[in-house]
Amino acid sequence: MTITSFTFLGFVLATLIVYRSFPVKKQWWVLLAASIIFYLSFSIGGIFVMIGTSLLTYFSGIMVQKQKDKHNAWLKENKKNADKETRKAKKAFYQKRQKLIVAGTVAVTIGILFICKYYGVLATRFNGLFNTSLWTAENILLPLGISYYSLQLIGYLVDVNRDIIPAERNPLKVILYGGFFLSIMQGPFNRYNDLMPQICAEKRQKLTYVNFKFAVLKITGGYIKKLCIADQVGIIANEVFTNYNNYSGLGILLGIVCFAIQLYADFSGYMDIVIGIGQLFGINMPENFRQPFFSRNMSEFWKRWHITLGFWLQDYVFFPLLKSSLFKRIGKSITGKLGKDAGRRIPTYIGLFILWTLIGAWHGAGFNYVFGVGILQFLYIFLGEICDPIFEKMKKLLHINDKKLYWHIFQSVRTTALMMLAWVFFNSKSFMQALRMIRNIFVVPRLGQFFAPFYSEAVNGNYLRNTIFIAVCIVVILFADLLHEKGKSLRTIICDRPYPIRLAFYLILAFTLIIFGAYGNQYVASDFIYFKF
Amino acid sequence: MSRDEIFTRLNEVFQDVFGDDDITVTDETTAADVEGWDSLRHITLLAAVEDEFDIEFSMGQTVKMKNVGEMVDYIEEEA
Repeated sequence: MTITSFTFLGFVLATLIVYRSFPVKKQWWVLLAASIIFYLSFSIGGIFVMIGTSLLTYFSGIMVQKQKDKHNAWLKENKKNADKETRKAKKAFYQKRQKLIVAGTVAVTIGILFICKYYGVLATRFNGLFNTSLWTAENILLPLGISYYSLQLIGYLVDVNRDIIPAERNPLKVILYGGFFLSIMQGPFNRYNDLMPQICAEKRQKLTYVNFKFAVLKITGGYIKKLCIADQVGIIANEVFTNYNNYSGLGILLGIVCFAIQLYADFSGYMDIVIGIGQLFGINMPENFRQPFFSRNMSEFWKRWHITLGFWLQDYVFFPLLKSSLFKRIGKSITGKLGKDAGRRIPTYIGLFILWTLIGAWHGAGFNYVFGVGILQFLYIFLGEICDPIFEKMKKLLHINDKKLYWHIFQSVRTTALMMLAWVFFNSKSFMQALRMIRNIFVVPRLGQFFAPFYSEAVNGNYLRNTIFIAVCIVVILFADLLHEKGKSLRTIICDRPYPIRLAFYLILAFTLIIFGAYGNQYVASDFIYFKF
Repeated sequence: MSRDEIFTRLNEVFQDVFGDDDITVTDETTAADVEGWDSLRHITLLAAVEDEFDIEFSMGQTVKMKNVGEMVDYIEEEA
């Protein structure tokens, strides 16, 4: 049941009707049942892994909470009698137990994720390397959304340990948190204390006409992004990335630009659909994109792209790493040898390198992922940091006013170009393919080559339609993002207009979907790109 | 230690970490108000505050603190 299918729309409608007809306190049961049905429509075996991981997390949460309660009870009894040292020792004793529980659970969860996700790739590599077929990995199951629910559940347990939330007493609620059907496939990464109080609320705002209109507009916008832009532009991107040897110079560049548009429209379109559906249920999920192509530098880009993953990694990987005793020791040692500034910076850069390598590996086991969305991103940020004083001097020398619009545009174009280079690795089948594609950019850079992909069989040679279509896609995406960047919402602007204008706009949206959308009996909407992660 | 005294010492830490002698923080100051206070500098800043006041921020506090006021509350409690 893909979310671009009519079955899914029917499923959402049926769930919404049942959900809204239930008493508010019991509505989460409907979402639990819907999530299980949704999961089963993809995979029967996988659901056992998802429920198993959720239950493991649930029991670990309860055990951590018990240690906390014991500690608090001890403190209550001995607050006046015990000296500071005894209190410290007791705290360390309970914290050690809590850490053991958390570490064990995280190890098992990551272990399952690793086996399910990388076992097959490792086996293929091993067999290829030694020209053997000893290692078989045909029957390894890849449960739906494992990369997403595993991280969410780890986040929940760590938050219990950090005293941010109390442990959940009802195991079914932890299963619902792990398997929530709107976020299990591609996110957004929801925090337990953001999502579950909304799902299990005792009071809920009624679905008013205005709320309904807002949500449906968001969902429609998402479907237009996916079916009219991503899947259409994707035809050219796929053609160039698959047959890259047939193209060179500007033709390759066109393919890369098309992939950037495809990826953004695909991923942010998905987010708009699920966030909009969430609003119909009275549940607000966090936005995962904030006009990424307006970023001035790479650090800013990652605060605007896949935002919830970035925050998850910051809170559960990067900060704990830098606060660990090992990193503190490294910092002190460097301070003693190279000074305070180096002692502060170098451990941060080491942590950043580990973080980005993990992000790359999370996307996939291939080196093209580890490099393109891992090491290369680290290099961008690291070089940006250490070269900053040089850039500042150059700006002064060239009398550049960095508050001016032209400079912002230059920075945004530069950041986007660097990201496109990274996406060549991300979308290639291998690291070598990416290098060959980049090399091909510099071969025969004739203007005529730019249009070469339009003439290919894959796009039926309808080059005029395609040229106009891609230009329109870029303008529409940039226009909508520009409005958001200025703090305006396209939805609010539309809803504030008089009825005839609103109606005209709704008709335009509907016809855009019908005419330009890629769907129908003969057409299977391509999977969302991030679905495979 | 009085709250004013904490702020005086805290200003010095901020000025040192972000290399800007003009920084003055208040209860309401957040990361958005200080240039360079991003996730890369956050832990460096907290480590410098820990050294200055001989305290330790737990991971919960590290991710939960919303503004400088909350940081000062904790210092007041622990130092």
